[in-house]
Amino acid sequence: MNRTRTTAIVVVAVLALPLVSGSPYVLHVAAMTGFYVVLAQSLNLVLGYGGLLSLATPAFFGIGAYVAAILSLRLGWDSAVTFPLASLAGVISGIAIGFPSLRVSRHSFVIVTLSATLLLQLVANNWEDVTRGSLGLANIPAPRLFGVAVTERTEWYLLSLAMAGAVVFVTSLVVGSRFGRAMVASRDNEQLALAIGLDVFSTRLFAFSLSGAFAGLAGALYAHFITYIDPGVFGFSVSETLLIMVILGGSGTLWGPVVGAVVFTVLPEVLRLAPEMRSLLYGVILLLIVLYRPSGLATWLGRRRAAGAAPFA
Amino acid sequence: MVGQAPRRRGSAVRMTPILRVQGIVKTYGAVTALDGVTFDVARGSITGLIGPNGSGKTTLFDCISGFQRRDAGHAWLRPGERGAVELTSLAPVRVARARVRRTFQQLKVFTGLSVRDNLLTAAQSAPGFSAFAEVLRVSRVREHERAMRERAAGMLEEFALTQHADDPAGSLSYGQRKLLELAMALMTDPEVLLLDEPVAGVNPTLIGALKQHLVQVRDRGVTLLIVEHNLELVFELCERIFVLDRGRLLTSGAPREVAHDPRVLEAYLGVKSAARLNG
Repeated sequence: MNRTRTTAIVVVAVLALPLVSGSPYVLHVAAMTGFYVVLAQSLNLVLGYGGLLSLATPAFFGIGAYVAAILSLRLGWDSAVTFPLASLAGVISGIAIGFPSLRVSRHSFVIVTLSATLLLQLVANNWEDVTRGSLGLANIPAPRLFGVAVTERTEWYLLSLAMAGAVVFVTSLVVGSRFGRAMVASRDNEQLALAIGLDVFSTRLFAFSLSGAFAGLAGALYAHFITYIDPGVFGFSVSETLLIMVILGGSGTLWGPVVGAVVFTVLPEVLRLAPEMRSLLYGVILLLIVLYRPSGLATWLGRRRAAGAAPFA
Repeated sequence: MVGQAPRRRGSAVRMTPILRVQGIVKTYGAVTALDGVTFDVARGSITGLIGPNGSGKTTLFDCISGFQRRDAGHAWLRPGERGAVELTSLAPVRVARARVRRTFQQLKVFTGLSVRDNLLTAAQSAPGFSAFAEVLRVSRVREHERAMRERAAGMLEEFALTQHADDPAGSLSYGQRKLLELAMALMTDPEVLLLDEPVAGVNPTLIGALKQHLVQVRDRGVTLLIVEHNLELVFELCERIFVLDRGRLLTSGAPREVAHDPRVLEAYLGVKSAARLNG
């Protein structure tokens, strides 16, 4: 009962945000939070449920951003087409990167995914005819969904919220299915998983490509929202932020990364109140969470430690 | 067939081999772990595979189950029959899907999953539904899932794990994990079960329980090949025993024959001690 009430309050508060605060700044941060929820869930699938430290999320994110930006700038296509295509591009890069990287050891996997991301950044920097290199792509228009342009901050907020909600919903379906169990099983004990006839490789490839789909979608949203992208979207800092969100939020749980995305998008903004102390405070807060909530902030929600213990066990 | 094997409960039906190991050789650099091992395991039997440490028992399991590539030789499932499968050419997943299931010397369960989910994971390895059907839970999938849940519930009951069904498997005691391991193996509906030290490190009461389970499993028609250092258990349960020593088949036969074979004592205890024992 109590949880139902809490959930209802959270849902109402989230939906009512635009009514309470019309401030473009607040809505901007709120929309960014939604994108980060999508990205964090993308990493969570591979890292939390799959137990694989992937540094390829920025690769999917960047590919999605460039695909959506180029299709919209050059061809003027509707976002109802380009968003799914950006997502599909994420899936394809997920398969392309997953195929070699999932065949090597867990340690080499980290390096292969990082290399793939850096490689794509190089391509974005040098394939100037298409990407305009380091100049980046500017003036990306507002997305049009079936002809309706999304321009107002409130509309953006609702779009971002809808996408985040959809991604969390899809994730819950996947992790609650046989695939979810198979992912955790492959993470916990690869040899046993093979011995009971689980196709560990395919399971991981599935998780990886779904992760690509999510991050590709986030990239498309981001490109239209910020209206400018450059090869920096493939940067390592994206991975860094996402790792903080997923691990400190609660990796291998459904809501942990959501909590992580909200806290670590909002926190740096709140800390702007103390500009000189900002970085220091941020670091101290990270340390405190690691020390006192090592399995993630989501454990505060009183949720049972879901399927995942330590991701690298 | 190797040897002519007087059979303890020897009926003619049991003579059909379900597993044939033929000249398997495995070397690691200069070390020869298996040096042309050949034997047949009779369908529906409990067969023992014993030998001192380092004699190649686990390596043989690894070669049969696809976890290691052998250098020469073959292992066949249902040799000579129409549905014969050459196990040694398959990856571990394919061996498991051919319904040859192994356990590991070092006990393995999925510690992050609940006990029930461990069983469900073991059961649903290849139902052949599409990914979309699985994720969207179409009615066929839900039906299959329900059937598997019922089966898991029965298994939990049988192995006295019902009260722990929703606990993470990592929280079980060692003995309970041993039971779960066996229950998981059975959920895969195996034809042949390769058990690597099923009672190692288990207290005597639980050994008794596990023994009963093993006999029941055999009575359901599953063939068991057991590697075990608890010779008392092996001599009591197994209808036939193969003895490995330094990668070769030293001898084989009914428990009584093997137990009194001086070569077996020698292999286990060393020449001098064996001589002393034999007076």
